[in-house]
Amino acid sequence: MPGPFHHETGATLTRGVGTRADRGEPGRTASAVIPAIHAEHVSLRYPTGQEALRDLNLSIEGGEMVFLTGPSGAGKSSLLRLLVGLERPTRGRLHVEGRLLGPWPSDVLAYHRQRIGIVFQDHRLLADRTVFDNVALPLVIQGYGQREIGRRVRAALDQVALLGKESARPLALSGGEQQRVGIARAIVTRPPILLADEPTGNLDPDLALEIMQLFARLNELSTTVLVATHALEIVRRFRTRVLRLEAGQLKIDGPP
Amino acid sequence: MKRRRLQPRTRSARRAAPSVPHRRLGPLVWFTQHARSAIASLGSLWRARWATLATVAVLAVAIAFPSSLALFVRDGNELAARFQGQAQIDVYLHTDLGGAHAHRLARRILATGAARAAHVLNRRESLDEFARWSGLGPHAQDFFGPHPLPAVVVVTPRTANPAAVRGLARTYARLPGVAQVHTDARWLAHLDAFLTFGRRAVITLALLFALAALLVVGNTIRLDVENAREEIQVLKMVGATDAFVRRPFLYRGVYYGIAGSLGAYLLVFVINLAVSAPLAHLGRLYDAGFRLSWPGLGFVLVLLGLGALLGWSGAARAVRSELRRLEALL
Repeated sequence: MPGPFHHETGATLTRGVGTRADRGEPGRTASAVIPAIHAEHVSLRYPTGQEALRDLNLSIEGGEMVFLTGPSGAGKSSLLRLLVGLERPTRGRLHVEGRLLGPWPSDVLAYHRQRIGIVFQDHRLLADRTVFDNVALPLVIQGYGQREIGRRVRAALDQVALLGKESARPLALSGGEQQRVGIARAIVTRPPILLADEPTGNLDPDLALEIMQLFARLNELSTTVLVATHALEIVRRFRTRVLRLEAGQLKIDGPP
Repeated sequence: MKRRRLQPRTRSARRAAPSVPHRRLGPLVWFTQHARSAIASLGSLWRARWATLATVAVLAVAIAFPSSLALFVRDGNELAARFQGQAQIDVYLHTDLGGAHAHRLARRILATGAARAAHVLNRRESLDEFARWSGLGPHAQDFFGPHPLPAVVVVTPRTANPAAVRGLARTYARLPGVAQVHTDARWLAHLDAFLTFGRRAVITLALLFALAALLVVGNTIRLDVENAREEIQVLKMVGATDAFVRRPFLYRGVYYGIAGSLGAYLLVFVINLAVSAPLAHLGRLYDAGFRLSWPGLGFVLVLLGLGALLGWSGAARAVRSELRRLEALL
């Protein structure tokens, strides 16, 4: 019986994503590894003429945790926008879970987004709904039953240490708590990929570290995590891969 | 610079799109999601009840006006049909011919099979009839001096068609002893023309007011979408399909339409209440027996169906264009 945060991985999907299990960890069966995210010569130029990304090449395997750093305007958010299908590359090819992102119909794009958890800097919580309803939103969209929604929402809130706050309204919570609600909403459907865009931008250093540790714990459960941040002092505390973008180009790919 | 379109509309692009693993919704889930949307939409309309009431009132007026006119025309049609069913040809004989000739003529007319009835008024009866209608009473004879009125054969033709009735009249005019033939086909033709105009006016007005209703609902839903912009953006980002996002707004459109139709029904009722008595009096003056009919269950059902359709169409159009705009702003 899978636990509440058992993730659908390459083993259960038609076209799977490589995970730690796939990479041959003890007791697991290895299969062909398809990167969770794979960019080939990706460029993005906005209609205003601003070139956000230039000839980007990178590959992130399933189950990896990667920090995406760089100064403001380096292209971090643009890359995340590409990954969730808000933009299309001007040039190059971008694959997510082995699927080449293209001009998809809206329902296919929606299904794609259902497989990606997104955490925003400004939380984007609905102020007129309770914490429970905010976290339950992706499950309602995907048509889960009430009992399953209740079970999963409580498990997600437990994961972010907010169990007991189900009835609270977002505005009654602190900034850190609101961000954790946002993370609970992103992980409640157990997506194979979690993207976070400056998730600690509005938080003090202690809270920021706490949030990053939460991402690391989620990553230990095989979720591929890509966090865009410019909080380098926090990034250095994690022994994980860092991609540094500057002026739309990948300058550093390695440990912090 | 033109923005790249993120979502294709061609079938080939759909075929080229990959299959993304996702939960397939069974009929029960589909029904549950619809029920949730339907209830949530009712709740949101209730929360903005004054704005909702204003929209519904405008819709009610827009739907009530052509509906009321349609009822008038329907009653006019029934009146015309009643008169056409009673089309009458009055065959006046020469004044020197008496009732015996009139009876022979009536039998001859009936024998042709074109008449359902042929009733004879001899000269005395003609005078009595005139005395009654003119209000002269027993003094009618004094008024004329020598008895001027002929015997009359009042023919009720089987056909109600004005042209056919006129053809019969021409035939009867050629019969021996006939001085003059009079039909009410001309009057019926006028009524028919008036009703044709009425029907055309109803259709034109109904189309114009339907367009107004579409615009009212569309504009209201556009504002609703704009007010829910943040929520829609979040929904889209966490994987809501367009159908999921659209659904509550479509329900709102349908609710606006149904509520507008119910309001229109009440208005039609009030209009009928206000004008039925004077119209009945007018009908009595013309001996027409015109009476306004009250909207029945069929009328209400048609009104509700059309209202719901109008609301849905207006909402669908507005929400489609707004979602396209919001997608570009994500």
